[in-house]
Amino acid sequence: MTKQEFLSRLRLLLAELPAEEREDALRYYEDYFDAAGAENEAATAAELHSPETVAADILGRRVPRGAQYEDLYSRDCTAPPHRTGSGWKIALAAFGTAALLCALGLVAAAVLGLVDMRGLPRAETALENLPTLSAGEETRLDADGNAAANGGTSTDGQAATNGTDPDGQTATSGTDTGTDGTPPSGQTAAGVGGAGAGASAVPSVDTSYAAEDVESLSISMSIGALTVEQGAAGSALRVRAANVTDETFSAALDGDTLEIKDETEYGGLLGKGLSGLLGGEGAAALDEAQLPQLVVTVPAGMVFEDIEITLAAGQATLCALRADDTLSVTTSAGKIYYDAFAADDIELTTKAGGIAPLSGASGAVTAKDKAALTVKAGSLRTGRVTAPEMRAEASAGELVADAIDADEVTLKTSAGDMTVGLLSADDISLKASAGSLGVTLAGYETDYDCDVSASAGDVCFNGESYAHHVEQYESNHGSHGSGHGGAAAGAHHTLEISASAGNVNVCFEH
Amino acid sequence: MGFQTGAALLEAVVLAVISREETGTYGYKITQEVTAVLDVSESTLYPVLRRLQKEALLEVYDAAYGGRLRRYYRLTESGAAQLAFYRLEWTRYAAKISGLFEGECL
Repeated sequence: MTKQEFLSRLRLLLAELPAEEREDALRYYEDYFDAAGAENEAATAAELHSPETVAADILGRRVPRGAQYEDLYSRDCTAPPHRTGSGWKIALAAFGTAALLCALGLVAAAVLGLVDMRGLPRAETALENLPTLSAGEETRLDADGNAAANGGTSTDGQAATNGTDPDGQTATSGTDTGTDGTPPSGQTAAGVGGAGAGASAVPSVDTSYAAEDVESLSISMSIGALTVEQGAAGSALRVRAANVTDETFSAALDGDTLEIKDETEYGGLLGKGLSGLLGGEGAAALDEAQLPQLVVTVPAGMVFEDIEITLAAGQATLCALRADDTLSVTTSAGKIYYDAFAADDIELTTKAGGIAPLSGASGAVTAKDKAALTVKAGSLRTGRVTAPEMRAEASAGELVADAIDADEVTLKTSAGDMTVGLLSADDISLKASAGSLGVTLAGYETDYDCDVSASAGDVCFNGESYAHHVEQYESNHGSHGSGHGGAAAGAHHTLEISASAGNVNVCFEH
Repeated sequence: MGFQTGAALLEAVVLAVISREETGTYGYKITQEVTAVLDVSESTLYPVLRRLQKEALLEVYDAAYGGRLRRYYRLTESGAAQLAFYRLEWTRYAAKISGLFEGECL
């Protein structure tokens, strides 16, 4: 097969993709053939198997939309929901029914290995070594003197936790903080993981804070593995860190805010490339460069006032985070997995990297006041978002929400893609200045009072162009006026759509 | 090879391959280098590159080569950071597996 034959066939096979994505793929494969050399066209085509194989790999990760997130983020044996049906419409049930504890995800994750899973390495596995240190090896950091001063509530417990017992699994529950009753499975999972070998990771910090001393939580990590897990109700708030130095790491109470910070620079950890990554330097590299690891155990039922979490690179697993006031989570390259978020104001931001629900968790985002989802680049995926006021913006990258339940919603894409499974709100504003926005609206089309403007972009209703749709509608219903829905009796929702250059796809539930 | 490649390892290897060229490298070469160490098919690379680009871990630029423009990929700062994370995850993971195979105490 020649290059031209291959590319023509591929173009046909990718017909269902938006033009931009199709052209990007074709451009890539044209480059690919050229780089392989004009004299090798047939061999290159053979190496790629067939246009069908290539197309399947591209479409397989894209259709139905959102599926690629499962590919990337499913972290355990929960099968990705098989979604069929129209393009970007997302099956809600697949997630809604999986309202399992995040602990389940942890247990499952702890059982699985890195290589043969479809997802990513997990923060909690990076911490396996923490609880199994022998007590004698513990070199406790006196983090600015504060750790010792504020600690103490469970220092006795450490001896038990770090007991020299070779089967460290049971040791975790041996603390005197109440975990020996019926530890939540999240904690058990950590313990099982703790069976991991070796004293290579030294928990240089292990401090507990009385829950009543802590109102707010602030965690900032430049690189590494972060786990926020749920501990027993009534226990202390515990902070454990490994592979940190007192130059980079601090954990201290500032007033009633527990501030945990690690500023390890990742620059020095780079540079060995492939051979360093896969070659035989494992042991040596392990000595010189250890990944910072941080575990924060929050007693069950604890509600903070404010929570702020920033992860520049690495991976985080966030469980049991509830705030009365604001909850803010930001990543600039790392991958963050969470069970669910609840607070008055919730802000989730990806500058690059991704935020996604733990496999098996609901991924619900529940705000009493406002929810703001921002994708500057990277990807953000959530379960159901519930908030009186909801704003989401994708300036690049991709944002997928299974459902949104709100009074007022503004969704904006300036270059990125946004997909919402089911949107239910009184006032809806959809703006696509570029990029694409796909939404399924609750109820019937006649429930909405529509105001549509599209200068260079495309607006589609139920898969057909808006202009054509209006024509059809008016011929059927004899309706007149600016927006076809505007004259419909009983419209009690407003829908404002503007597509200056992007695409907006709207489907109605019924 | 007898081991399946997961998404994380593939992503890590792609980032590592690209990091070896400071000025970036192109799809064909990335594919050759990745398939030299991992048992993945050639056609799996494009979706990974596209995804990493969407996640802003990679950026692309065009440069003239042989009379036409060729697309190059290079790491962003975020990509470099995430690679550092994967590298250390790998050393930790590899040390554990090696230790097990070599009969060290768990």
